[in-house]
Amino acid sequence: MLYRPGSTFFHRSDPRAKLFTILVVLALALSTTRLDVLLALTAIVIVALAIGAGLTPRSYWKALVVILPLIALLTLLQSLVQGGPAAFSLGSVGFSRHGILLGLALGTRLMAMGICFYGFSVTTSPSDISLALNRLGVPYKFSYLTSFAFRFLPLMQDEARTLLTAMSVRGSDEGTSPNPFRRGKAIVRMLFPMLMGSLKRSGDISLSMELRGYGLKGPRTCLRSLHFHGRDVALVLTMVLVVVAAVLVQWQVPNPLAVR
Amino acid sequence: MSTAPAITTRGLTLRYSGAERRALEDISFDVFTGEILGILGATGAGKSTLLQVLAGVIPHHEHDAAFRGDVNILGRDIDDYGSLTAIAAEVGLVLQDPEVQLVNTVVREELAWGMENRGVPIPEMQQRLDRAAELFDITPLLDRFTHALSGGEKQRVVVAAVYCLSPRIILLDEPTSELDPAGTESVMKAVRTLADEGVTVVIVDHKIEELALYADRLMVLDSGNVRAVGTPREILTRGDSPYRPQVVDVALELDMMDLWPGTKLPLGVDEAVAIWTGAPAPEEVQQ
Repeated sequence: MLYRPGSTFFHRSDPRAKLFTILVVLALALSTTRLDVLLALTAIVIVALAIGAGLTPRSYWKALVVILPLIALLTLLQSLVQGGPAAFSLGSVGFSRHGILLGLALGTRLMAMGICFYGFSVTTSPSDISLALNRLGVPYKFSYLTSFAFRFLPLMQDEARTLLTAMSVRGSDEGTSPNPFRRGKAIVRMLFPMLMGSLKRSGDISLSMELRGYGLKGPRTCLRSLHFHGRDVALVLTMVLVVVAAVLVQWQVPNPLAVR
Repeated sequence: MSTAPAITTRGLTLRYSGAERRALEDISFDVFTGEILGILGATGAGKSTLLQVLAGVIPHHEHDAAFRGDVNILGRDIDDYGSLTAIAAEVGLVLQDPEVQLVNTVVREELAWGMENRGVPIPEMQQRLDRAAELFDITPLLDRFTHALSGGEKQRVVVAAVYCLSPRIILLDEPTSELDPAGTESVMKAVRTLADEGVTVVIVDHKIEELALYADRLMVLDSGNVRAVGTPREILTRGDSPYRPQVVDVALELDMMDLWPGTKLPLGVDEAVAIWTGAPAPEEVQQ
């Protein structure tokens, strides 16, 4: 589970305002392929998280490193399939400048969305997400599932760790091997026992939930409540300004990286 | 403890589909309101199955078993309740594995969740939550993540979560299996308090020394049959009891020995039981 309790601006913000924020970032990132706009959006997300949540790139660079090969692959593919003047050639193969820029833009889009989701997950407790969704009209049975999933992820991690330990004490080094293919084999070996364990556990979980009234018809009460404060209004207004600025830049400012 | 039975079973017999032998065989017993009944027995004796019948899990959730006989909960035949949730409103069941019963990320939410599902008003919910946290000594854990608790802390939280629903009967399936002696004592003392408040408690446990100390009566199950029901002293001193501790064994043997006339036995049976269970010796009680 990524969530870390804290008292930063984003920790104290209403989860509905934060949901609105990530939806805006998502919409902006998906609505443009301009590299300059996407780089500016990524920079805004990074700076906002650093100031509003105390999250510097140091805390999430490991996750970013994972998507770098994906960005490289996207850029390579786009440079090969897109037309236009070549940025450079290797033998008879030309690498389109437009394709390279498009690939980098798609990669930056992934980064902006990934960092934003990371910030949201670190600063918002799963139960707050569930409550916010419920308040926004999602039926409780479905909104509860988000917090339920977060509850059982650590359990699955523990189980995987136990299985890896059990394998290594019986002489297998697949789980700790630096070779990704051998590690992959360890994961395949773990799948079946983990699946069986989950199936066995699911019956008991559903029983204990039913015994405590999950799914009962009739009104539910809720111990916690959400309050939309001034800071949440400020966050929403800031995001509206970001949208307006992005639309203006997109339409009014010529793309300096555009292929002429 | 009242003399009105909260639970009554007569001729309760159960067989799992495809099983060679019956899991429960002609079980008849009463549990009185505000009483703590401890159930002892080897693995496979039918202890957990019996709790599942009393909680309505069989047949409402587990469909591969059917029982014959009468089961009466709080004056009503269990069939009249109609559904598992209707029975659960009166009977709280704590399962063996705490991990499958913690379905929220934070302890406070875990305690509140069942009450929220039942629509308990917020002030009453807060009151019950505070009381449960105090009773089960989990106030410092209220804002902790459930997955980060120790095994013993998890067990105390799940018992407290069931207590929050204010059931009139609580069934506990090995509630202290992951607890250290201090944790066990804390849970058993809380259970004693509940019983003193009129809640009927049935506990399945292997820690006989704790059950003997806190339970009003013990019932021994063996291969689905009731071997004995009685006070802890009656069960511990029975000639054929597999639960008779060595110290009582020795005392009983000395009791039966034809010692030199006028010789005082070094240890009486009552003293031996008292030493073993940690209860005050009979002469201390008299003083």
